[in-house]
This record gives sequence, structure tokens and C-alpha cells, in this order.
Amino acid sequence: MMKIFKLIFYLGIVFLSFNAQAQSVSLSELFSRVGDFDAKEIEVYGEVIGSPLKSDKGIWINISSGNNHLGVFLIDEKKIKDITHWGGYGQKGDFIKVKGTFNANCPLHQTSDLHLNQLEIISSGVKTYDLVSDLKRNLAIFLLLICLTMSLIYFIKERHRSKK
Amino acid sequence: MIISPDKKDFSVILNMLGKLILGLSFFMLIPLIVALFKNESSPFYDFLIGFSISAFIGFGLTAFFPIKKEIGWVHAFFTVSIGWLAFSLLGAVPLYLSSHFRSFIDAWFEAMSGFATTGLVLVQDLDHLSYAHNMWRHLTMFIGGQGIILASLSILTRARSVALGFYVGEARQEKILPNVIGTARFIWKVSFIYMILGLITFFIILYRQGLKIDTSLFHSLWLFFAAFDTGGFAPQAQNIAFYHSFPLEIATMIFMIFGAINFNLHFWLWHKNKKEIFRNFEIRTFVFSIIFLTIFLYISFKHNFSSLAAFRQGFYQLISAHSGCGFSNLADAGLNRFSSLGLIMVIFAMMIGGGVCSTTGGIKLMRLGIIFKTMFIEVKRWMMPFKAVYKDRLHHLQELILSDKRIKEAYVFFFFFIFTYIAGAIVGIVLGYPPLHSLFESVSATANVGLSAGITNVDMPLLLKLVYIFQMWAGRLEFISIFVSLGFVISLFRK
Repeated sequence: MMKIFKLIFYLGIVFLSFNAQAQSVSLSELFSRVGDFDAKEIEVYGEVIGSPLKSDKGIWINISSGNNHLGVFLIDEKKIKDITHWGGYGQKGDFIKVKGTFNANCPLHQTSDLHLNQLEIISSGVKTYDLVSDLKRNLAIFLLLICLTMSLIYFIKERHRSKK
Repeated sequence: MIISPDKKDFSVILNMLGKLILGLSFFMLIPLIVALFKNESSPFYDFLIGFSISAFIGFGLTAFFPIKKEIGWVHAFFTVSIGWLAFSLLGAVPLYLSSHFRSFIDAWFEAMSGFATTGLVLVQDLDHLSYAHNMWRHLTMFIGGQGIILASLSILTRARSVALGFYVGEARQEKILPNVIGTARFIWKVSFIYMILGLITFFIILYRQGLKIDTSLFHSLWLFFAAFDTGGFAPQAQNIAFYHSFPLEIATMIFMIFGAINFNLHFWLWHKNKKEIFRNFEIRTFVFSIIFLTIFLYISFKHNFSSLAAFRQGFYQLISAHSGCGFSNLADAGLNRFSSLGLIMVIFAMMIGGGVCSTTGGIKLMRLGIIFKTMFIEVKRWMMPFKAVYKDRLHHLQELILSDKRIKEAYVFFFFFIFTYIAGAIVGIVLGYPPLHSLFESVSATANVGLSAGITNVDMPLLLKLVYIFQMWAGRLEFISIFVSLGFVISLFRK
């Protein structure tokens, strides 16, 4: 009987500690129910975009899920040293998981943000090559030639008019 | 009697339109050079295609439609109206080719939003957009804000006789210097000086934040275009919120206000009397309006925000709305967290706009001030002896008598704007959007602000996209040149 009580007790502790862990949430869900996650420990996923931005007391990074974005504030610069790709033109940024306290209305920064505790790189970003299709290249050259022909007609007509 | 156009009239219009399109095509060379500089090959071809199409049309129209008649005001008005449509359509070509737009209509919406200095966006995945395309998006605001026609006016010589027609057609009612070409050049001079100031200020802030030199430089230039020309585009999807910088918010606020001030007043402050800033009727109306709206906005904020948060989130949005810029420093879903009262205050700010002869849209401070003044005059009149003659004055650069003509003009424009605000809102409501949000978006489009309560997105109905395109166009030109053009077309069918 004692063993059963002990088992229930330990299972209870495991269950409670599981619930106390950061809640995983998508960025769209986060911003559709901002109030529900205020001042709570959460973990969110997103592509890291732009570049790190220094501020007086720390660093900002921005993560994006495509339609939604979140500013993540951190103090320890070392936490982002493993990020190799920052999303921008020609580059898909690292896909990361950030864990920290979400503030719907951060008293320190006067915005909705996440104060980072832990950052994990899920997948590394990639360079996206700037390929030009043959169709686009040929069309551009063709249109340029037509444009040059028209400019020639224009200058001939202008010359003709000024002679008159 | 309405002047009915003939073939020669259309030839004049198409010739002038051709010249303006030619000017636009040369502006497309700027992003093309950026694409070369940043090694962006696909965008390079996008702009080569855009340039070639525009230059082809420009050369073609100018070559085949000679000016066979003296250029008149009606020609100028018609050219301005269709000119803005043509610029936005041609300006949309390289944007559409970027593959960041779901349809050509979306790219057209974005281009019109840029040229009309609105700032509503339909671009997708903005964070991965090329430097060249971002340069073009922001350049459209600079070109549109300074006035494409105004730009050409300062260069063209043939249209000098109707320069005022172009000028008024672009919704600028006050000349600064006796001749309009001089006025146009002054506006350009002022803009370039502020551009250098803006570039330095923004660059220092962004570079200190850790952005690379070239990124800081590009972002500074774009933010300046967007702030001073009260456009509201930004190179990142989060808009100003991306930078998480209080100094940048203050700096953008200052340049937004500069952009919202009447260019005439800039001239006065630079060359004549600096004390004018304290006496000017528009500035007084602006201060009164800001105080009034801020009080109510803070009341709507009081339970949820600290004073600093209310300033950063509320006051910033209010200045952005009032100046017609449309910058936002709010995190995602930010405006939706405003109470109804807060949203209404932002709507009022957007409705009013800035000074006449500035880059802002909306009813304008001068007209609103005149409307309120006439209300007080009416009350005063009732309190005076029956036979008393009463003339009121206002101080705008000099003492002006509040004539019936001024009052009538203020009311006419007030009516046009209010009617368009409501009409756009009704379309939104009919399509199933909440009334307050529909009004917000309609006002934002018509007054060329660019703040969004969430309706403007790629999934909104096609009809609404077209309605907002029309509102941005009509609001930017302040209706008159569009109505004159419509009359011009209707008279063709009456022949």
C-alpha cells in the first residue's frame, strides 16, 4: 500500500513539474491570446531575422514565423553566438527555439516582448541563390532593345520638328 | 460652359504624360544601380524590365503625340490624374516581378500606396525582400511625396505657363515664391537639406545599434523617405518596432512632424520670421488638436499602461496618424489592443492630417481650423447687434481675412473627405468587417496614413483592394483634378 502511495506521490511531482515547464506556443497563437500568456514562461519557434541590435542593457533579436514577429531581449551575448544565418534577402535565417518570459506589456521596454532564458538552434539557415530564369533575362534584353529603338525614333522626330 | 476636348487636347495630355513617364523610368535606374551594387541579379532584371517598359511608353507617347495646342489648366489636371494611375501601374511592374506579391493587383496596391505616401502594405515576406526592391518601395514615397509633377516642373520648360495647374492638381494650394517653378525648386532644396539631417541622425542611431555600415545607410535613407514624406513604409515587416529603439522613435517623430508642416511655413522660418511658428494658424490648430486627442487617448490607456508605455505606444501612434506617416512601433496585433476610444482618437488624428502644401493627406489643419473658427463666428454674430458687420481674421504667414471663399473651400474639401471616409467604411462593413475597423482602414487609405487595424492583408477581397487603391489616389490628389478629368471625359460623350 505504501508503495502505491509513493508511486502516486512521485507521479504527482512529475506531473506538476511538467506543467510548470515553459508552454510551447506558436507566434500566431501568442498574439491572438496575448493576455493568456502575459508574464508566463513560454517557448516559441521562429526564423531569426535581420541582425542583432544592441541596446543600453542588452541585445534584441527578432524572430518571425512569416506572418507574426516577436522581439526577444537578452543580456548575455554568448547565447546568440551560435547563430550563423540571419534572415534577409538571399538568406534564410536559422530556425530557433526561444524560451523565456513573455510580457504583453513589458515594464522595461514598453512593448510586447520575450525575455530570453534559453535559446536553441533547431536548424541552420541557408543561402538562397539568386537565380534568374532565361525567360526573365531574354524578356529584359528584348524590352531594352525595343526601348532603345523607340528612343531613336523619338530623337529623329524631335530633330525633324526642331528643323521645321 | 464646360470645355469639350478634341484630338489636339488628348495629344497635349499624352505628350505631357509621356514626359512624366520618362522621368519615372529614370528614377527606376536608382534601384537598378542598387541591385548592381548589392549583387542582386534577379532584381536587376526586374528593374531593367520596368525601366524598359516605362521608357518605351514615355518615348512613344512623346514622339507620336506632339503638342499642337497651348497647354491649359484642364490638360494639367487631366495629366496629373491619369499620371498617378500610370505611375502606380508602371511602378508595380518591378515589384510584381519580385515574386513577393500574390497578384499584380497586390503589387499595384503597394505601388499606389507608395506614390500616394500611404504606407498600407500587401508585400509578402518583406524581411527577405531585396535591397533594390526596398529602395524602389521607399523611393516611390519620396517621388510621390515631393510630387512627381513637381519634380518635372522644376526641370521642364514648356509647361511653365500652366505650372500652377500642375501644382494645384497635385493638391498643393499655396505658392511659396511668386513663380511656381521657384516654389518647386525650393521644396526640393528644403527636402534635400532635411534628407542630409535625417540621414545623419538615423545613421548614428542605427550604427550604434550594431547594424553594418551599408545596412545602416540604406535603412537611414529609407526611414527618412518614409518619415519626411509621411509615407510609413519600412524595410522590415515589424516596421519601426523592429529596431526596439526609443531614440529612433523620437527621431522619426521629429521628421514626421517636419514632413507634416506646410512647406510655406518652412520657407518663412528659414528666410523670414522664426516667431511665425508661435503665431501660425495651422500650428496652433495642430497643437490644440494634439492636446485634445492626447488627453482622450491617455484616458483610454490609463488602466493598462504606464506613462512611458502610453507615450511610446499611444502618443507615437497619434503623431504618426496626425502627420499621415503611418509608422508603427507596436508589436504584432498592437492596434487591436487599443480600446474603442483609443482607436477613435487615432481615427480623428488620421482624418485631420497635417498642413496644406505638405506631404500629408486628410482634411488638413487649415481647413479644420477655419471650420471651427466659422462656428465661433456664427455664435458671435448672434450675440452682436443686428446691423453689425463682423470680419474675422487668421494669422497664416500674414494677417488674412476669413473670406467667404476660404470658408466655402474649407467646407467643400471637408465634405469630400468625410464622404469618402464613410463610403469606404460602408464597403468594408458590407464585406463583413467590423464597423470601427472598416472606418479606421477607410480613413487610413483616404488620408494616406497607412496604419492598419488588420483589414489590409493579402486575403482581403479584391473589391476592397480596388476601393482602397481608389481612395489612396483620390485622397492624394484631393479629388479636384480627378473630378475635372471625369468631367472632361463625360463631355466627350455629350458631343
